[in-house]
Amino acid sequence: MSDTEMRQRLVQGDEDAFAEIFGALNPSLIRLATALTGSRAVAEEVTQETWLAVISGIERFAGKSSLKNWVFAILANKARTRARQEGRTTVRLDHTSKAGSGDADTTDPDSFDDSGRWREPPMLWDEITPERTLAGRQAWEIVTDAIKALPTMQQAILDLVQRENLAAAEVATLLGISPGNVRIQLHRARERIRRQLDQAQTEPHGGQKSHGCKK
Amino acid sequence: MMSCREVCEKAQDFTDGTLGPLSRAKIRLHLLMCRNCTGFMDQTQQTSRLIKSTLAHQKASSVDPVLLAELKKRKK
Repeated sequence: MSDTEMRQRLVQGDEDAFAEIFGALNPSLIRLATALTGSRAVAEEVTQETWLAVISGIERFAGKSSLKNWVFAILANKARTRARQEGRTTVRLDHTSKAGSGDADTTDPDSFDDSGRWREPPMLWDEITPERTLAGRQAWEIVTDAIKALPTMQQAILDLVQRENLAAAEVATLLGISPGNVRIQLHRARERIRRQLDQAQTEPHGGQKSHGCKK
Repeated sequence: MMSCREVCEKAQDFTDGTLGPLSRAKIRLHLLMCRNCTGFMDQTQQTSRLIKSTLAHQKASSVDPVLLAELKKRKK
């Protein structure tokens, strides 16, 4: 459904149209709000307020951005306001992250010799489908748990980039951080998940060192 | 010639298609000659696909009655 059609149907109070946009965006909205407020409970309230604002103010959507970006922007504003009111820090990034440091801080130096060659070759993976069983669990379960274990900011970034297909610059605006930081956090998140998948293949019960990049 | 470490560092950007043409060409050249980095790149690409697939299948909770009530107001 196009944004124009969705707008028109929401103006008319169409429940099917609302169920569609709610189903598509709600998980990502909660993740973004959690990252911005630092609280899942507050995030759920802010997300609810966002949907109420969307329903009551859909006429104000002028099509200058995508409808999705418009909804995310409403949520980010509400979440920041709420975080300020409650004296919460809106952005939590670990102290080693800094824009412009490139990807070097995600590289595990132990994986390479002085000339930059692999010390031990990385494992060759067979094709992993989401349903494939690794270490007694399906791959999608391993990925789901790995995502849940990430810092909330990395979860939000992963979600906005990989589920919502937003560009790093758009994510940066929503989160109030630099695009460089978005990329660094995204790389760290995906590298952590890659290592967990690698570990699940190499050692059924975990514990073996994985090769490649840190975290 | 790019080192294996440099290829590893750029593997995600390569997968995302966010690298410039020169870097992409250097990585492609390296991959032609390096089975290890080809394996690592495959891991990176498979991880990205699995994350996308897992996130895409996450279901939203049911719509809150408060929201449905607000929606109904629009029909009046």
